[in-house]
Amino acid sequence: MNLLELIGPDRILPTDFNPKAHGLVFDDTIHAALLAVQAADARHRIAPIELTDGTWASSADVLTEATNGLFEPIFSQLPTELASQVTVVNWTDVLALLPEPEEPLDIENN
Amino acid sequence: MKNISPKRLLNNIFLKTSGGGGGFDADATAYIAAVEAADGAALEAGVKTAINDFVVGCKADGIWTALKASCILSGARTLSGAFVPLAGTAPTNNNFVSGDYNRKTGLVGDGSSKYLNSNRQNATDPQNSRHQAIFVSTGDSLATGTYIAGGGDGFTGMFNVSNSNSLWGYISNGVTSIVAASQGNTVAFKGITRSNSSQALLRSGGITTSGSITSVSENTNRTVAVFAQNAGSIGFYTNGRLAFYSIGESLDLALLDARVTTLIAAYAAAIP
Repeated sequence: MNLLELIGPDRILPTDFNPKAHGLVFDDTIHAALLAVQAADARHRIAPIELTDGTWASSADVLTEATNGLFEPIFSQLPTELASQVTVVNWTDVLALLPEPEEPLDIENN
Repeated sequence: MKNISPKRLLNNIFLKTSGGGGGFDADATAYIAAVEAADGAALEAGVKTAINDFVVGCKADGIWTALKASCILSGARTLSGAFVPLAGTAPTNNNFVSGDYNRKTGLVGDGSSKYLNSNRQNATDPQNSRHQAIFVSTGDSLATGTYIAGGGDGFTGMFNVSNSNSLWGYISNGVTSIVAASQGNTVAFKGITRSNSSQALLRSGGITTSGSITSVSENTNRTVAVFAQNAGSIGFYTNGRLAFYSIGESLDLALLDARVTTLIAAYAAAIP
């Protein structure tokens, strides 16, 4: 399912949708568009995480702030058509593609 | 003897006892006003009194000016209100939504994508005079979750390290940590500080542990992240819930612990 299919042209989140249980996955084009509409000094930002397959993801709960919320200034600048290029997946699918972080700690010294 | 009308006298007494703003510390008043503006609604009298008591108490303890970047991530009615800085620059919110916030217990991370950029560079505070502190309402449950951290050679921060069931604290040294056993995922105040080049102090569970760890100069311009670490890239996110953070110069951790703990308890009592 893509995001446009989820929210429809009126951009309304279905009441039975659990945003924290889902992720939004998209490619470099959408990622660039998302960053382009965020001011450098914005207090509230959507910062996608890069997945191991080269795509990007955000928790779907950012959608709860899309209308009259913290992220409205971001979503209000994004054309609705872009939503068709965003895939809605289970959050567990996103977690499976998270990169393994490099070890920041020198365990030998502790 | 100066005359004062009965009405004015009653007003003075009422305002001071109700926490309505009369007699409050100027910094507390400014913070309360900023939070209420961000919230779009007034705070409860008990919440305002708790804030004033915290600020006045920190000043009496001589630790107020050491708080250089700080947010009370609780108390406010909204997430925007919670991001109003108590000291220093406001943080930048990355991915947190209103549903992550609870007025009594604070803001919860997701362990994978949500963090605050404190907008405080780790290099800003002196190599041998710095602190970081947090109040944990729900402990991290991940293998290595970072409550707060940032930097390079002079890295400073605190981690839950679950495989050793401990809290690791780094302060002006990115290689060697000071360790508090069995404190990695516990709740309440945690803090780290140093006031000289040779000794680090880590406080958790009401106990301050000292370690002989030589400080190293910070060589990056990385900002300190909260709910994650900033070691050039953001990572090691926590899924813990935090109600307070502060970054700044060296201070007495036990005194700050007492003030923050009292503040969070007062919030719990004052918020319906």
